[in-house]
Amino acid sequence: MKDLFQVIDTIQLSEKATILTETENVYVFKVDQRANKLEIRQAVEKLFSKKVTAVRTANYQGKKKRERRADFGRTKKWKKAFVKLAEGETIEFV
Amino acid sequence: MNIAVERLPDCKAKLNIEIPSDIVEKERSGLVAAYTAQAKLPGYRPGKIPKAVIEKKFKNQITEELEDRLMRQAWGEADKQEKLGILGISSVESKTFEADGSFAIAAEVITQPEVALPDYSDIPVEVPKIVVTDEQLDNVFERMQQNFATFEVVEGRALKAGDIAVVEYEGSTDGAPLVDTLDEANAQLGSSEEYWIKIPAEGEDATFLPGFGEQLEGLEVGAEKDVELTLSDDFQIEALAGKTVVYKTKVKEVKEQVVPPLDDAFAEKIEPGKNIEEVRASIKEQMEAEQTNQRQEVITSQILSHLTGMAEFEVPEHIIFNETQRQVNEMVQRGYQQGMGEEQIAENQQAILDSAEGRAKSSVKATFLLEKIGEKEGLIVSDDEVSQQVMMMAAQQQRPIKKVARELRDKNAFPEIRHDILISKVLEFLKGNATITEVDPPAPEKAEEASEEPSEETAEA
Repeated sequence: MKDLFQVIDTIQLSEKATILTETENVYVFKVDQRANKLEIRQAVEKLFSKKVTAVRTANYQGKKKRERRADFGRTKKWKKAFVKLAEGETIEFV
Repeated sequence: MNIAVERLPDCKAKLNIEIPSDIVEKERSGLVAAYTAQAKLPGYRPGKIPKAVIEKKFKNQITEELEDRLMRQAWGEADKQEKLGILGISSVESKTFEADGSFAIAAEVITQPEVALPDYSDIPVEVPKIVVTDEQLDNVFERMQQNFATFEVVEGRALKAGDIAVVEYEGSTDGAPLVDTLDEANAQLGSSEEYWIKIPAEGEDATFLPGFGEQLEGLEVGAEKDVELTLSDDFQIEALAGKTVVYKTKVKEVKEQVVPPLDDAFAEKIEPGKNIEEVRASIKEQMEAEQTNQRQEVITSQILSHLTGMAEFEVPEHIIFNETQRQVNEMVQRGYQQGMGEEQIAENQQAILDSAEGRAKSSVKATFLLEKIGEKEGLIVSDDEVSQQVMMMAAQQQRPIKKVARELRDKNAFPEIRHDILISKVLEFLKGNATITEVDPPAPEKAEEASEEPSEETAEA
């Protein structure tokens, strides 16, 4: 991916993510499907100016959605990234 | 809580209040907990949102509400500690959260005036004697006779004053029929097949266009005449103002007003089953009852003016201002109801303002006085009395009590009702203790005026 600004889609705020942040200093993002771990690391380091120690990713299939018809469509598939920051580093969301 | 009070003139006081950090913190955590229980955010189950997230997400709302709560607490505390009797907050000069977590407020509040009660135990009141004169009764009967009058056709006689002429007419101006220039609502002015016009007797107002009836005098049935009229410059239909109109008029019938004689048959019409003497007596009774009612109002107004005249104390300007506003609104409303136009009201603006201010001053003063008297005499309004009042209101509006009560509760109107009842109780008390002397009734016109004033005063009180 050429543009670092397009890597991170949004921050995933949820109960699970909050627990991860509190216990592991891991922050959860929704990222572009095409981005790899290296690019995500670079993006977070550049955009938030924080030191990243580890990145893990997971691909999610879109959920089945029916709209009054027998056959179903799907919501968009997406990639989730777990970014572990160096000790003492935090990102202020909200 | 640190409270510093500086009393100012004009029923005001300056407050400097500092709320310590532990109270602030307690309030804040309570608020956050409340938000946690209520808030819904995507990604979190209800009630499971971390405090940190809540505090950030709803920062503004929480701060605002916290300030609000703390201030309310502060007013309550200041009121209790310093016995200020705070009626309202005129301005909050500053409110800041200090670095150590405490909250500082500087504000100006309006306080209860210090009412020095005059002697109210023996208020002299003068009321007019209740007298119904024969002349007044005769007047009433005359009016009733007019109402029951019939119109009968007279043959072979010319029209004279007091008669009714049944005419057909067609109006024109400058040769063009009036019907063309008039819209539907005023078509009657243009032409008519059958129209009743009274020939005005001396001193009577014209029933149709001014001057029309007079010109018909002396005509007989079947006679025709061109009635020429010059309309005034401020005639209500602009197109015709100042013009000369000609009415081609034909008299179709001559009618005479027949007034029924004052006998038992007439009495039967007014009140079935009674003869004329009995009717006269019952009307007299009615008029006396009316005067007795008016007398109550006269007494109230005299007591109020006596009290306000005796007592001198400062009344908070803010409250007078509000009351003046209310009075102005009321007066303008009444003006509209009496058919005043917007222009007229604008013209009389200053007069309305002045009289509203005068009224507001005395009514605010009276209210304070009455409240104080009620307090001193230990008059209390019980819940039963309030519910009775609500029941009465429901009955008047012909609606279910429960509904009315709920509405009142939603509008937070109960304290007001309670207050109204208290005021009327105090008034009753004062009336019971007043010395009432009877004097000869003033001229009839004055009596009417006097009876109108107090009804407003009581409403305000």
